[in-house]
Amino acid sequence: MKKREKGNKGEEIIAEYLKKKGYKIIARNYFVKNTGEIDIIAFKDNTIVFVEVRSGDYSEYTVNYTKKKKIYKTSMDFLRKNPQYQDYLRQYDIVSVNVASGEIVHYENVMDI
Amino acid sequence: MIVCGIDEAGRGPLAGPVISAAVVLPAFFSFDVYDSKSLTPKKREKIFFKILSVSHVGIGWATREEIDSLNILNASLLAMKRALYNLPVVPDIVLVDGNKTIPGVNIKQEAIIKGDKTVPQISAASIIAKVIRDEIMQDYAKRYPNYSFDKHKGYPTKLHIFAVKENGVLSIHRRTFSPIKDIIGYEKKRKRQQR
Repeated sequence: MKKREKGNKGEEIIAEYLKKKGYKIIARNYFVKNTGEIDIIAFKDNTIVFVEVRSGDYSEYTVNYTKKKKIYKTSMDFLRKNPQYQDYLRQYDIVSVNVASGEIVHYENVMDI
Repeated sequence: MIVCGIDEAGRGPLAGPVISAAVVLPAFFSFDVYDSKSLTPKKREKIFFKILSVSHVGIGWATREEIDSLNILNASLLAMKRALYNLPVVPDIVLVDGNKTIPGVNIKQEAIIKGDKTVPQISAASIIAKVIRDEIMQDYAKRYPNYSFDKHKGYPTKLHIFAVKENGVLSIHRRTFSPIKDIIGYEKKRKRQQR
């Protein structure tokens, strides 16, 4: 399986998983030029959640500080362009999935910026 | 009933991994509850070998990269999970120090706040985790002699922060922790100005 295919499939699985848990998905692959990309943006109750999807083996441990900063900047861009979400609480999550076995691990609130 | 205590060491430091230990003490073994932080290193080591000689012990850790990726709370829970996997017996109940239980484990758990001062199993686990982490930091002290890791064990003392400012950030320093983060940002800014 190619890397891109694997990533897309992982995002598909995790979008389904989040919907089942009661999250409403607002955007997928939100991309800002020169800034970064957020895989899934969702919300539940009064919290808006920015999700980084990880589908390689052990790749949930490789979100480094630079990547986190990119995600943060992109999320701020999203909130600027969609002011109706500005009053929500923000949360940054990493959700990892093993595409072969379908095992999902959800790490909540990983950002400490 | 097999009771297992879990505790971690190394949440506060700016460098190195977070280590956790899972300990099952034998039923006949009377163990005093020690505070791992108030013991001297020599006494701690003595108790360390006493625990190792009679009980089942599992060790787990989370690396610097994992701490930066998942944040320190999730990483220490991951380290605890690995310690539980490395334990040679399957316990009936797991007593975890702190206010969070370990996610993704099918064993009955209980979170005990200040458990390292009240529960003998958790107290033993905290001593084992601390001694092993100190040993790792001694190793780093040999590898990076300018940083005196043997003195502060990676904790944010004045000496440590001064050494980082003088000699630069190492690969074992946690990038998301506040003084390290600021030092990296400052260095980048200075390099940009020089160009």
